[in-house]
Amino acid sequence: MSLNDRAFIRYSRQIMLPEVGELGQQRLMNASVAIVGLGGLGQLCAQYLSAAGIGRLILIDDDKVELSNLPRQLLFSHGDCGQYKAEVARDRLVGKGTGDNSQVSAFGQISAKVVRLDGDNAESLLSDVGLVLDCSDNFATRQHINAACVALSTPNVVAAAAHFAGQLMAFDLSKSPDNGCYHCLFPAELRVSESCSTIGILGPMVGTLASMQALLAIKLLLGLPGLGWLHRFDGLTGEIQKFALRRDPKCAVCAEIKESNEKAYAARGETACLSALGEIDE
Amino acid sequence: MSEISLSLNGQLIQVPANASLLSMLEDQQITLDSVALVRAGEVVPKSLWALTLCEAGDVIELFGVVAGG
Repeated sequence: MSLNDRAFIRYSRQIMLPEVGELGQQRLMNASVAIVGLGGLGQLCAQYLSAAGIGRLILIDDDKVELSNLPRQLLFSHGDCGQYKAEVARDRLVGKGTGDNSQVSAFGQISAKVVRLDGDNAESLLSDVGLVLDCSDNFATRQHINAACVALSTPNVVAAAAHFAGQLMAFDLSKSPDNGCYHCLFPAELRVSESCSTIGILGPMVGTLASMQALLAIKLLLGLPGLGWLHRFDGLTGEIQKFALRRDPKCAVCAEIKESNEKAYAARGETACLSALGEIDE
Repeated sequence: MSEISLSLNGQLIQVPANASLLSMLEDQQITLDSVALVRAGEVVPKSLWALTLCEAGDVIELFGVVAGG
């Protein structure tokens, strides 16, 4: 997709950045991204990514807008209560003109999937995107997203916020295998007690994490660095800590996949050598 | 037995010189199935806790998962 005049003007402040440029903008406009969860994180990431010109956004959530969401989920209004978040978000973004489903070539396409992502449907829901944003609000869904991303070799940008604690990280086993997957850091059997529904949260707290998550997602789509780190944000002190992620060699989710990838690469390399030597025909 | 000192979540503690991360956490009565561990700025995956020895001056951080959104 090349940039027409309107797109060039619209995205000029992004294109101006040497890290983006016209080529980078085209990458964004050709990108296909899934956002799982349209709560405090997802509704803001959806706005930023859509506004940045992402070519195709898939919004996945089976929840409806509730009154108690409104202080932090600014895409939604009082009149949306009782409506499905994914559909409201899609319609609102199309209405803002950041996405445009009727004029496919102009701006990004946005689709809504009102379904709860689980272990059975995760891979099919995420199968045709180039990047996933985990904006979910519970540990079980995060594990399902991770398992699917590992199986599909799809980059997974994860953010979470509760109370005044925020966490941000990104995984991509194909580009950064030594940093492992979400399960290497937080195995499924870990005990979790926090979620926005059981622990309070301020709008700007989750908004901060969402902004960091959207920025990280855009950077990865542009091919900029960002993989392999866990960021912890303390909303009370304002402190951000950055830790290197490490693969668990015994991870129940990614250890086998990494091994089979390595074998596949090795086999391919071997085949290529034999082929070059004329020992086998391909 | 000689002891070494290290920092655990900002607190200076003493542990036996040959203590593994796992035995140190058990001594400190940490609930093992609720934390991730970072040493010297790097995550140490749980399967390596028993195999990794504490070193004098280690800076270790423990934290739980945040899952909300």
